[in-house]
Amino acid sequence: MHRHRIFRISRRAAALALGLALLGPQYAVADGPQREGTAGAAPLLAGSLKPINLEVGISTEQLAKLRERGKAAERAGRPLPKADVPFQTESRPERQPAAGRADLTFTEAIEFIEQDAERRKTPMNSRVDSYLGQQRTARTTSSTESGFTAQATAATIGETPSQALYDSCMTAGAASEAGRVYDRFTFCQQVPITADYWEKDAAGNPVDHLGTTKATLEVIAQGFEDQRTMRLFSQIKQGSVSYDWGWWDNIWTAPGVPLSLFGTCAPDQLDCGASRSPATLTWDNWNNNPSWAYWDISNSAAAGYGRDKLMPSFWRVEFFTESDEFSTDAPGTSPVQVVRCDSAAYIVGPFGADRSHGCVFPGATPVLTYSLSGTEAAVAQHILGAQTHPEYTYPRLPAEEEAQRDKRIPGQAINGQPVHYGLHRIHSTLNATDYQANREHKDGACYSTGPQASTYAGLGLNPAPDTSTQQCDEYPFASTLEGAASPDWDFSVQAVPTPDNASAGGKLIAYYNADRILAWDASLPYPDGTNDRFWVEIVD
Amino acid sequence: MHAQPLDLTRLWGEGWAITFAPRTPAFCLDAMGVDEPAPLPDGLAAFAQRTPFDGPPVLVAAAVLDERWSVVVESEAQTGWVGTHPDVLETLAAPEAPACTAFSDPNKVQVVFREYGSLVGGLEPRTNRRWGHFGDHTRQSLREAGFPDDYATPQHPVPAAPSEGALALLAAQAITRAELRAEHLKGPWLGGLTAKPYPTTP
Repeated sequence: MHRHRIFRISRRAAALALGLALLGPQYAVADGPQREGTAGAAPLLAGSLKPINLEVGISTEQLAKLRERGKAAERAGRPLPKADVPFQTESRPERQPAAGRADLTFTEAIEFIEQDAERRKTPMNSRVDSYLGQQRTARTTSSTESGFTAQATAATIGETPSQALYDSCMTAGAASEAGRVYDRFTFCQQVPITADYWEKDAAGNPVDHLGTTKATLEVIAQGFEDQRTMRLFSQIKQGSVSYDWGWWDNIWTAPGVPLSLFGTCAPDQLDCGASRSPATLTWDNWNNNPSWAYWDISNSAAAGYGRDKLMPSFWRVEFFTESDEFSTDAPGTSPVQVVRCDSAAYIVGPFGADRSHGCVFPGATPVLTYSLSGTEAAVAQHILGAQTHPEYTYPRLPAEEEAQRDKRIPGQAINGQPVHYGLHRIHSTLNATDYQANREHKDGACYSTGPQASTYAGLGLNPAPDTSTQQCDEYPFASTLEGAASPDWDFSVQAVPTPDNASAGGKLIAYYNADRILAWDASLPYPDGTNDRFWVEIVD
Repeated sequence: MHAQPLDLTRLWGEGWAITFAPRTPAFCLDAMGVDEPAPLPDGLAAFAQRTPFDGPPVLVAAAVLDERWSVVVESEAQTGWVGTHPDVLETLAAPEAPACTAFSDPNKVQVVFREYGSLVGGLEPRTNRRWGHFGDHTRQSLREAGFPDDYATPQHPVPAAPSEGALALLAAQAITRAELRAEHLKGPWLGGLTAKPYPTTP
């Protein structure tokens, strides 16, 4: 029985879900006015990502104060003072909610996630690969690893993102509308932003366009592996700020204007909470001595869907200047992104490590990689053959069926992109019926034994594996819904050396845990789209 | 009547191996390629400090079960489970006391064992598909634990268990007549790293 409850997210997120093809994401999410086409400094980011606009009004009195302060600094030969507020505090202020409310069904939220995935062109790393990459990076500068209790650095989430993570993630793909899902637990993005400043009279009417400040907003988000929380980091990229206020104001006025960043749930979204205050520095401080601000975005299991209590949270970074002297007419917001949290009790770390809650970035393609030159080489060779030439694999189709069609075997990825239907994980206990059926079909096709032996009489593997040195490998895996018993797909069995099969199984454990691939849950709304899928890529 | 075995799948997920051997923990670790075994101050919590893709080398840990038997656990299998290597099982087996390893990955749960001086035997506990050498003593022990002699059928099922992992432990305990209890997991453990390769000959 499928539940079909309603949860609320923002009208803009709904627009994303329902009309993303027509609306560029920054149009859909920005609270501010449409972008202007003014000429200015060259954009810092390549590609088509256009700046997100912020409009701020400054009172005549405040402008005078700013310029007086600039003059004083100029006379004294000192830099402009820092913003006179704390950088960031633990208390989270109430902010004016965005206008309007809209309901979005869970299914529509999943459509958002699917569309989000489609617009990403940069392949996502498996967590295994990204972890190993970072580990190699760390080892070039430190050899502190000792003994057999080396802590997994990739799992650590502190008050700033690690430099290794920043260097690995913040590449060209991050400077895009969709940002970059680096791996299932890491997202990053660079967003060009433009702030227009207007002098306002006592009645609040704009009287003069003072200037424009441009910069690059940086966002890194990391999902926790032991709680339903994502940590969102943001800063202004060092050295990215440029001013177009006039030569004197460029030096002595504009850099002293404060700017706040604020990580938050998309407006009016239920079951999404965020911590901590906005972070405020002057543009000059952001530009020369940037600090990462962070916020924790969470949702609760109580409102989650299905066995694993799935719940997406939509989030973004707002930027504005708000105080008695400044009034943000149109705050800017980074494009809305989504994180999905779950409480899958069967995701268990080694010997009791608590990983039964976690948050991942679902808008990318999880890919398991096996290597033709690795310890699992024979399995990789088998899978490659099954994916590319299923007609040559065992079990054969019955003659009359073989005359009409070729075997169809799903799950292939090439260069990190899916080229076939994805695989859905099943769990030996939670999906015991499907799992058992896969086993029985495999035994029938491979060993001519068990209740399905007659199904594959004359069609199965011949000769059967030599069990003193070999095992029967099956693809799609026994731990997938598309395995041997699937009524919709064909499968392949092949005898492979025992150590290769053991190694492939070990890597599959690591992969399922590393990328937090959840097991099939038929009770979810729209299960084909809601359940995790993954693909298998064979590399040299 | 056998006591309900621990459900290691519930405790540890779908990736683990556990070896029963009639040897001391230090002997077991040496047979599994550990050069420098050392006490694990936090016991099995040492595994939680690692990720499943740390190896090789991989961490293995051994503890005393009783005056004769030891148990060895693994949680990293990037190059396969060391406890399933035929040469390891051969070294660990003793007269009238086989060495036996139960293991789980997402695709399979199996039990492999080696009686002293014999070839490896194995079974899949959910279906009771068997291969290799099964001595009379082992067959009888499994029968007493409720396993049929042939592939399981509705008429001759395997014993009921909360998971195939629990069933595998039941079979391993039947084969060895050793018993793993929850308190063993909390006791002192000896551990170390190994990168022992799979033997080139069975």
